[in-house]
Amino acid sequence: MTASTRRLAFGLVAPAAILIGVVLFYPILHGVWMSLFDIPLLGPPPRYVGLSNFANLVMRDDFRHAFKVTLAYTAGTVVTAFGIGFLVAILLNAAIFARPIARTLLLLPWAIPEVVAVLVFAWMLDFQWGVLNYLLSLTGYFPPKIGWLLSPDLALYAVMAVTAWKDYPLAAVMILAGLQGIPQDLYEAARVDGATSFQEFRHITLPGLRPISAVVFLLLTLYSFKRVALIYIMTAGGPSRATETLSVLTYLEGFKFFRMGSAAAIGVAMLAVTLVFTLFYYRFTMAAESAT
Amino acid sequence: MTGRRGYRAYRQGRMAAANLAVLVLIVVLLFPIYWMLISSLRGESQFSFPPKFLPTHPSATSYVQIFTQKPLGTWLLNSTMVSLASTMLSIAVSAPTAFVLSRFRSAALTSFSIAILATQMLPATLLVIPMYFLFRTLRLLDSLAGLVLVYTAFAIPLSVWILRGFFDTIPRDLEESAKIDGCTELTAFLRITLPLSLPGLAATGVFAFVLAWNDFFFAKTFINSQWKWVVPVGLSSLSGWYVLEWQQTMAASAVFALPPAIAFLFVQRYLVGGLTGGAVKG
Repeated sequence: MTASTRRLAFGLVAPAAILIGVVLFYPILHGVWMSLFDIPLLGPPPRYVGLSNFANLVMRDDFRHAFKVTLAYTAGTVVTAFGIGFLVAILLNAAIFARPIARTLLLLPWAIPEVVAVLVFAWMLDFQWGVLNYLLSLTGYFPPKIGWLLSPDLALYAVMAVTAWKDYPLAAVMILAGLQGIPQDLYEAARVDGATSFQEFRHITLPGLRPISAVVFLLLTLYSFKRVALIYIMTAGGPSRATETLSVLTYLEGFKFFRMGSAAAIGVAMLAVTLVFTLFYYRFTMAAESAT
Repeated sequence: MTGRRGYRAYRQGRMAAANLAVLVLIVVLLFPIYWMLISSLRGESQFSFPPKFLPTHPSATSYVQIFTQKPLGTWLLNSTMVSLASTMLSIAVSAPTAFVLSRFRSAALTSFSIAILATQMLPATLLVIPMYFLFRTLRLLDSLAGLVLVYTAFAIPLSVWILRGFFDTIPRDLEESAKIDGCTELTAFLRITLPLSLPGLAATGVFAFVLAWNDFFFAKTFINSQWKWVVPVGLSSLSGWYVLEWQQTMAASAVFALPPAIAFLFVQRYLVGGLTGGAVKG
C-alpha cells in the first residue's frame, strides 16, 4: 500500500473503529475493572476488593442455582432447536413442490420480534384461556388447567419452547446450506451401487453435515448461554427463580439490587465461558471451511 | 425396486411423503403466528372457551383500540425513528469499512476484522452495566440518540461482514478502468462499486433495521420516560404476567411484527447467504 491509500484506508475504517471501540470495547474493559471493586450505589467511592467478588460467587446459592438453570436451559434449547432445524432442513431439501414458499414460511419465526414471540406463547400457555391447555384437555390425559408459567416445574420448559421456536430457523438455514454443499455425484454413485435411501442418509448425508452441524451447535449454545431479553420478558427469572439463568441473575443483581461490582463479576465469569465457546467456534468454522 | 418405472414411483412416493411432512411442520410451527392473528381479529367477547379456531365474527376493534386507547402510535414513531437512524448510520459506517477490508490487506486490518467479529460473542448483560455508567456520563441515558448509537455499534460487525462478501464479488477491473477514466480510489468506490452492491446494501439495511426494531433489553434499561418508549418496552408493559386484554396485546404484536416480516420476505435470500457465508468462512 502506498502512503496515500493507507491514509484513505484508515480514514474509511476510522468511524466504525471509533464507534465499536467506544460503545463495545471500552465498556467490556470497564466491566472487567468493575468486577474487582465493591461499588456502593450512593455514598463512598468504589473500593478495590481484588478477586473477592468472584470468590463470593462460588459460595452463593443463587449463583450455583443460576448456573444449573443456565446449563439446563442451554442444553434443552440447543437440542430442540437443532432437532427441529435439522428436520426442517432435510424436508425442505427433499420436497420440491413449494420449496420457495415453504422455505419462506418455515423461516418466518426468525423475523418475529422476541417480545412478540413471548407474548403469543404466554397467551397460548395461559392458565385459564390458553389454547394449549384446551388442546391437551381434548386428549383426556391432561388436567384441564395447567399453569405453565405459574409452576416452577414447568416455566423453564415454556421458556425453552419459545427459545427453540425463535432459533430453529437459524439452524435450518445453515444445515440447508450444508446439505446443498454435499456433492450430488456421491448420491449418484451410491445409487449405482444399489444403496437404499437410509444407507445414503447414513453414509453420505450425515458425514457431509458434520462440519456445519458443529458450527450450528456452537452458535446455538453461545446464543442460549447469553440469552436475556426473552427470558426476562417471559418470566423475569421466576416463578421462585425457576428460570433465573446467569444472564438474568446478572441483570437483576445490577439493576434490581444495584450490586454493580458482583453483577460485573458474574458478567466476567460468563464472558470467560463465552470466550471458550468462541475459540471452539473458530476452530470448527475453520474445519468446516477446509472440509468444503 | 423393479426397474426404472418402479424406482420413479418410489421417488415420487418419497417426495409426496416429504411434501406432506413439510405441510404438517408448517401447520405446527406457524400456529403461534396464526393464533396471534386470529386472536387479534376476534370481534365477540374477549374470551371464549373452548377457543375458536376460525374467525366467526372478525372485527378490527382491537386494532382501533390500541391506537386510540394506548400510546402505540407514539411508541411506533419512536421505534421507527430509532431504527431508521441506526440503519442509515450503520450503512454509512459499515460500507467504507467493508470496502477497505475487501480491497486491501494488512496485518492491522486482519486483526481489526477479527476484533469486530469477536464483538458478536460478548454477553449483553456484561456490556449493559458499564454502558449504563458511560451513557450516564455522556448524558445519553433516557435519550433515543443513545439507543441509536448502541444499535449502530451492534449492527456494524455483521453488516461489514455481509457487505464485504458483496464487494468481493465485484471485479476490481471495474474500479481500475474507472481510475483510468480519472476517478480516484474513493470516487471509483462511490460511483462504481457501491451502486453495483445495492442488493447487499438492502440486505444489510434490513438486518440493521430489524436488530434495532427488535431490541428490548437496551431500550428497557436506558429509557425511562414513557413517551420515549419503543414498542417492545411498551408491549411488555401492556402485559405483565396477568394480561387481561389479550386481543389488544395480540393486535399490537401483529402490528409490530409486520415490518420485519415483510422486510424478511424481500431480502431473506441475501441475508441467508450473508449469514451462512460468514458463519462458514469464520
